[in-house]
Amino acid sequence: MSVSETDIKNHVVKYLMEKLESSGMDRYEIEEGIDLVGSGLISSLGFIELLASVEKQFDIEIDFEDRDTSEFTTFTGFVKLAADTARAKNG
Amino acid sequence: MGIRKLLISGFIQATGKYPEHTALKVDGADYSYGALARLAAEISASIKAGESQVYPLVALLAHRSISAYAGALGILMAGKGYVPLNPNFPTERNFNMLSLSGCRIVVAGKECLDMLKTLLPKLAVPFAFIFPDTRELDELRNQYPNHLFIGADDVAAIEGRVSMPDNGQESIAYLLFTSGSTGVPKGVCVSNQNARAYVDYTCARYGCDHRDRFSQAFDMTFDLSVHDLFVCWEHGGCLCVIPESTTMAPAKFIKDNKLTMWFSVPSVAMFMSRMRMLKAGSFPSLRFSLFCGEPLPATLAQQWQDAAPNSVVENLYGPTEATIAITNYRWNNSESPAVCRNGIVPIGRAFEGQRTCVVDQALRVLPAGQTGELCLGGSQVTGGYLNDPEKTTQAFVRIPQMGDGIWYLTGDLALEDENGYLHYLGRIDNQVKIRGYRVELQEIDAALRKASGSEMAVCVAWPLAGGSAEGVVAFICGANVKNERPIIDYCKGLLPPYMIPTRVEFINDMPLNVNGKIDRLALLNMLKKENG
Repeated sequence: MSVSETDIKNHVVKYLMEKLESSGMDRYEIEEGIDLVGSGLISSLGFIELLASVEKQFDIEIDFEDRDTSEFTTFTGFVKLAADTARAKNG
Repeated sequence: MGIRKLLISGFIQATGKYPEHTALKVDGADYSYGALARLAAEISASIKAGESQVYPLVALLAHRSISAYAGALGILMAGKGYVPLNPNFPTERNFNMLSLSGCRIVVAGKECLDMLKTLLPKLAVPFAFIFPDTRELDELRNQYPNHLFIGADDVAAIEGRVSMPDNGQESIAYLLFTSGSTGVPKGVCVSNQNARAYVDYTCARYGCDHRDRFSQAFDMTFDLSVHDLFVCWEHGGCLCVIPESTTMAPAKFIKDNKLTMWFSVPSVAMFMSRMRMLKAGSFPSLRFSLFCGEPLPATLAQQWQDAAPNSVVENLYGPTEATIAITNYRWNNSESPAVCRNGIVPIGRAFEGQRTCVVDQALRVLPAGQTGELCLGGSQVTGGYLNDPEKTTQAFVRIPQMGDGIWYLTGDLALEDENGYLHYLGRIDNQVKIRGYRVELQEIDAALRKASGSEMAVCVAWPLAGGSAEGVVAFICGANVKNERPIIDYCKGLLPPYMIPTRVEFINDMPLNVNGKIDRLALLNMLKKENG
């Protein structure tokens, strides 16, 4: 099964919405360029939970080894990295 | 008479020896010892020019910028102690720290202008603000004519001379605030002598020299940052400041900067581990990897050791009141796992020249194998809390069986094992460690009560991982408002980020213990059950 960037984007948005719903956060706060951790939207621990959720959903293991934190804590950066990983896995 | 040495002595000597060597990498720029010392000297001269009344402390409102590092050095060069504030803390907390410290001079970086603008309306007495990197200050000057604003041009115009100040070794080198159970932070006075004892021991133990490249991960409001700055500069090393956006998991930073000395809380290693950044042989440049601030899980120590095969991994322990760290344990992949208790690396033994003992409630010394309160003695034990003789006498005591000298009662439970290694077993009171920061849960409770209007509002540290906590969960019973957002927002206005609850549970019945007090353990068990 091939996974598109849109699938991952939708999953991340849905995950964040569910997480943030109870705290009264509005959807418009999740913008494409937002730094998920730096903006305070989620904590660093929350980021690890988001990561676990995406990896489980799409059965992938994202390798962050040689990446700068600021590259992958943005919404766009994270989705792209997950999509690249899924593409590499599924050929 | 010995030679008078201050915290800044090493930096001044290294500047004479290695003027062209890079002392600091921050914000994409490199600063040589010579350049950094010149800026520090100008700041030092500006402090003296801006001082209307002699006072031993100067506040520092700067964050991971040239002003932060040159500011700390400039304050020390002026013969003063520095009091770090933090732009990531709420205005109220910075205001409290500034007021309690009694400072009338603030060295500020341009990255903290927004914070400063929220602080200014609260200041009733005149201050002098020194901005080593900001020129446009007319707006502030017009709006706040009672304060003095010294800008970058004024600082550069002042003639500064790199020189040793003439204050004594007993003078304060830095004042740091720790969480207080009543909601008012306590200021710990660390003298030059205390700090020297730490720096001298540490430099000798790790054989630091001018080729070393140090990590700078800790905020300056965390006393472990003092290690980064002054152990590094003592022998001409290069301090590599990790940008704020990268502090969560700086694996690439370690590689790019070819760091040789690593120092962080175990949480940072844990994030890196979860993100698969700790692969075998990842960090060949590291000579030493030090962890402090919270319990270090054995599995993490092992993983780090494999990732940094050329480094010696050590677990350090110590409260601010006994200057940075005072015990250490050297990790060994083959022998150490058997020495660990509950999967946690021991905190080891006292530094050479410092002392530890474990006592019962009556301050009787306990033999090895028995659990009691850990007490610390020696030249790193500080003089206590600023303007608070009552709290100082409570925590800094004499222990007759141990002879002369003052001992600091840590409030930490510990036991010494048959090998003479100390093991940290938790807290006596409601203090917890969240991502390495000391937190009194009552301080958060107080904010929750105000936010909710309910007296039945408490929090517990959760989730627990590897003997320490990653966050806080709040429980509120009988609140008028049953909406999480306003409560969290209120806390954000009062508490530093690591103390903000990650969620709020509204419950109908608050569990009480036999004494009629709120039973935190029962709340913790509710969370444990919920997570299977």
